[in-house]
Amino acid sequence: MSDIKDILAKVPLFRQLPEQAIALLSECAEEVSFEPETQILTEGAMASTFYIIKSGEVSLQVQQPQSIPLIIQTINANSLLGLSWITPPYQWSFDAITLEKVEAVEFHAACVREKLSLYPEYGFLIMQSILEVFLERLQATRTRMLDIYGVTKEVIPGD
Amino acid sequence: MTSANQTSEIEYGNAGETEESPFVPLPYKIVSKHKDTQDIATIAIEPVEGSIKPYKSGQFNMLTAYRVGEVAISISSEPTSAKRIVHTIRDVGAVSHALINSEIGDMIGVRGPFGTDWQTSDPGDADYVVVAGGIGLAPLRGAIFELANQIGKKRKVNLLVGARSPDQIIYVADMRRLEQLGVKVYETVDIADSNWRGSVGLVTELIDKAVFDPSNTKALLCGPEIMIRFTARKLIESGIDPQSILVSLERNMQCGIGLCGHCQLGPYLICRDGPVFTWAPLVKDLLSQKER
Repeated sequence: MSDIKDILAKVPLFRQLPEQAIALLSECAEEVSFEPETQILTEGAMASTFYIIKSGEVSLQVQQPQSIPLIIQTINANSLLGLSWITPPYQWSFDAITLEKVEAVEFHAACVREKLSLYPEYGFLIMQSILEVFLERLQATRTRMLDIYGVTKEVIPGD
Repeated sequence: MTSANQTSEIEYGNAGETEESPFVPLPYKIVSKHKDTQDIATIAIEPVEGSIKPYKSGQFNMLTAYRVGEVAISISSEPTSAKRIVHTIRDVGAVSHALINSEIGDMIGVRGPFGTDWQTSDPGDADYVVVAGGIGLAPLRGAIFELANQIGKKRKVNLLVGARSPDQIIYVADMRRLEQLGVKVYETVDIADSNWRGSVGLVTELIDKAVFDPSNTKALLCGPEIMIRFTARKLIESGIDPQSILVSLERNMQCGIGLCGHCQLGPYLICRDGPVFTWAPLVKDLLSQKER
């Protein structure tokens, strides 16, 4: 268990958390690894886990009935994979598939939710860290919606 | 100090080896052409009679499509003694359309080189993070090859490339060459299907993947200005000195020598004081204000 605590303490997302909050999280966590092309999350399935990626990359995908899947985002090392475990109905919205071998810390969502409720002083700090992920992804999504690489007009001298 | 590098400032009446007016383009012949994407092509040109002065990475030329018009295009070749110059052009209007639809052997006009540069001819021992969005890779191409050819054992050079989709990434073959030279290349796109093996997301997300010593790193940024702002912010959060961040800006450049005023941005004329500027204190605030 102390190994997990050390690992979590080094995750940038949890850098502001006190030792006690890290200890709470570590009680719900274990190290896992996945081979390339492993489906970790499945759209519509129960969101009973979430992950901190230690190494490797995971692709968040959405299936298309008449075509190959679209990639929504790739999740890199030190990032959090899985947000739907936080609020009901606790169901994944997308598939998550490993692009390469992935080492991760797996959290048991029900256990984490219980800790957050039982220890609200640390629960707030943990949720604040996770909110950082929401905010970053919301801002990134908004920016991507701007289609910033779109065509600009040529300016003709004299115009 | 008003610009990234004033040594390349162009003075009126001194823009060409022929000592002719800086407004008279020299004839160049297209010697090769490569279609990068559906609307982007790269041409290599060589002088026919008289050549422009030696250039530095980051500078631009004014290219003339005869009987159509003139447009400012960044130089994409690595500065060498060779007379061949490479330009990558996106088809966004009449002049660029005429230029990218020219054939090998066709003549175009060239004035230049103009503007400031990336200061990569002598990079010292600094690490580099080079961030390009879309066709913003074109003004950086010469600088990246300069850095790659001087990479040594200590310096880390990271190239972070963002594009709308995989088929919009330019210089794909170059990137494999750069990797062989020791450059760490990371690519990300906004939209991809599962055949794509790179990243999907904002180019800023690639900064976490890059390996560099923030206390001794220079960053070169070129692309959409929104991308430049977000990327500069993230690089500064990563510990890079704002004055070590250089950005290349684009405006309506017409004369190329700071006379006509069309390319004004705040107190600067992009063609004369830029296009390469230090992020802070020069352009940081200007890019988040509405221009009047």
